[in-house]
Amino acid sequence: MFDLILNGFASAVQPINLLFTFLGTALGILVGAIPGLSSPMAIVVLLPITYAMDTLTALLMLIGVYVGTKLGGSFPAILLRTPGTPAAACTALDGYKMAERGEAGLALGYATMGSTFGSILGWLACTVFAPLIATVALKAGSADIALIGIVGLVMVSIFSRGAMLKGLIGVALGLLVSTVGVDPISGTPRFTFGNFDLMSGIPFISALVGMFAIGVVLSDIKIIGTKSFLQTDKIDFKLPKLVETLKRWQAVVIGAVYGVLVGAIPGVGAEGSTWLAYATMKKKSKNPEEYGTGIPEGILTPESSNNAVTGGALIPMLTLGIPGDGSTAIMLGALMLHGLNPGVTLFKESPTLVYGMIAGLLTSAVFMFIIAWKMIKPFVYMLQRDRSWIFPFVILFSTIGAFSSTNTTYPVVVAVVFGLLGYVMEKYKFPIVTVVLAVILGPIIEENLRLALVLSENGWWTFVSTWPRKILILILLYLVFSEIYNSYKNYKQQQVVQ
Amino acid sequence: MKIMKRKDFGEIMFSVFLLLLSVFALIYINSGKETTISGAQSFDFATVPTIWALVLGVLVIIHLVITVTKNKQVESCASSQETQKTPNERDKVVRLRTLFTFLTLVAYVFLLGKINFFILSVGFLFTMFYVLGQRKILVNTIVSLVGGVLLHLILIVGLQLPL
Repeated sequence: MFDLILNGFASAVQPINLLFTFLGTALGILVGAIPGLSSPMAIVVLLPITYAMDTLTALLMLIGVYVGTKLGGSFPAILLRTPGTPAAACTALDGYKMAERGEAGLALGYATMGSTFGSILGWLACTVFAPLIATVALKAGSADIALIGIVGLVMVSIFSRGAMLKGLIGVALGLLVSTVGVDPISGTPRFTFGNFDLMSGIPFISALVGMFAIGVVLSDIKIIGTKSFLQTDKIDFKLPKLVETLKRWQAVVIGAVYGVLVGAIPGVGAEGSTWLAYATMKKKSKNPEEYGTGIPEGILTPESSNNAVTGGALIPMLTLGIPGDGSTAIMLGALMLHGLNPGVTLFKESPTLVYGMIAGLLTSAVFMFIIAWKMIKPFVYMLQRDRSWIFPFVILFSTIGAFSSTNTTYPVVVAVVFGLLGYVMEKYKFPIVTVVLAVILGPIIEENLRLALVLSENGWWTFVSTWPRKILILILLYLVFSEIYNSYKNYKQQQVVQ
Repeated sequence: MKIMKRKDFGEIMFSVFLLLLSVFALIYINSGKETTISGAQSFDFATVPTIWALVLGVLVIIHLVITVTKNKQVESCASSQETQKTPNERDKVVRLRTLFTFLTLVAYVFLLGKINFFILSVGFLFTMFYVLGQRKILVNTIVSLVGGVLLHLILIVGLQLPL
């Protein structure tokens, strides 16, 4: 395994790969710094550019974007009290307070240190655990893969904004949409209405582009024209001494542990991990009242957690083909675009690519540190710009991405339809990530479900015939029933209040 | 007078749409055939879509019941003097911008492949900047042209995309 890790590094540090990792990281920091733009949006917009690139180079650039946005989101959180990404909301609590005291540069420095250490710890966790999980995953049968997919989708529903019912509706809709096309086993057309284009199914790239780019832009039009006022005009980035950060090692490590664990759970995302880590540190602290007044731990913890999520989210994506969040869902799509089959066999079939991607987490962390340390001023300038100049380019790039996949307008029409659907769903607080994940995982679940039934002599009992499957079913039932119980309890409490 | 909040009404309409979609999918995929899910041998092309459509329909019905019930409770608890918040000027501007952005995008998709990409992208950018509130025609024109040139260089010349 060690030689595979080294091979991965050797591939990742090729000059062209380093260049695109750097560019991706810089773009990621920029995107994260501008409220209204997001990592999934940036990755989707870059997809057309990746068509002409080598697979590893493309994915390293996307990983750079993914890692960079995590730090970028803290800049407006500290300077404007407006997080650039939802995950940076926690950083604003102490970061903005420090900026109010005239220590904006130091706050940005602590954010950079926390993010860098978090990324490195996330990389370490991914390097150690991903191969182990991949080895176990190889022994998975069709029934196991189908169950893992279903459990993953249910988890995404439960953890997305805490509205399980809406999440499950999104999942069911996505699964239904994924059946459009041709039945994988009998070849019978389904929901094609005699249309030749629909025979090829719903292109998942179009669903991604529609939901994460067009839908989000339509939803974010309301923020155009709102003014951003910097806390201070003079931003002198100040890196804290290494010993000052190491003294606060608990903040970094606890943040990273939460980041990796939560990142590995599909659908929860970085925002969940940052608040959990912050609350834990506050509870542990001898002076919890200091949290929220502008202390370094209040920045280090969420930023470390935020960036460690990148390592955690890559683990299920690379080992099981189940994305940890929206960004990894699109990276999964990028893998498929390049002819790869993400899933339990990816580690075995393309080890250099996989280890190269994992190495990319480390190289992008290094670039992220250097860029923030030496080149922060352009990003601070950009975060004050009006989004009306940026959104049209986002829409243009993303529709080009959809068009270029087949050079026909069919995928673009699909993208526009999904964009409208995404806008409506965002408006009524249905989590859009559930639809996208279901569209991607639907065919995998169906194929393995039917294969498991055909190959088994026991019919449906095959899904409880081994202990791992029984455990997965129990996890599924526990998640669903505990969420139903919690919702019922909340409902009863509200009744009492009224 | 009981007034349903505009947002809840919209959410209910969206849920009704999803319910109709699931019913349509159920009927369409099973028209003219029998489907069973009792055993692997009867698992045919319509079985899985039927399951997903049924799940979607049931979930949407539960959601509708909860939303309507919650709405009735909120209305019965509201004071008689409470009035519904009327959309302000900014809300109207946002809605118009959203609508025109969508229409511009539809027009762009319709013309894609029919008009030269450079001209289409410049036109799209100019229209979008104007719709989103940038009213300086000269600045819009310059940024649109520069943007169009950059896109042409990156996508067509650099990446050789067949646009």
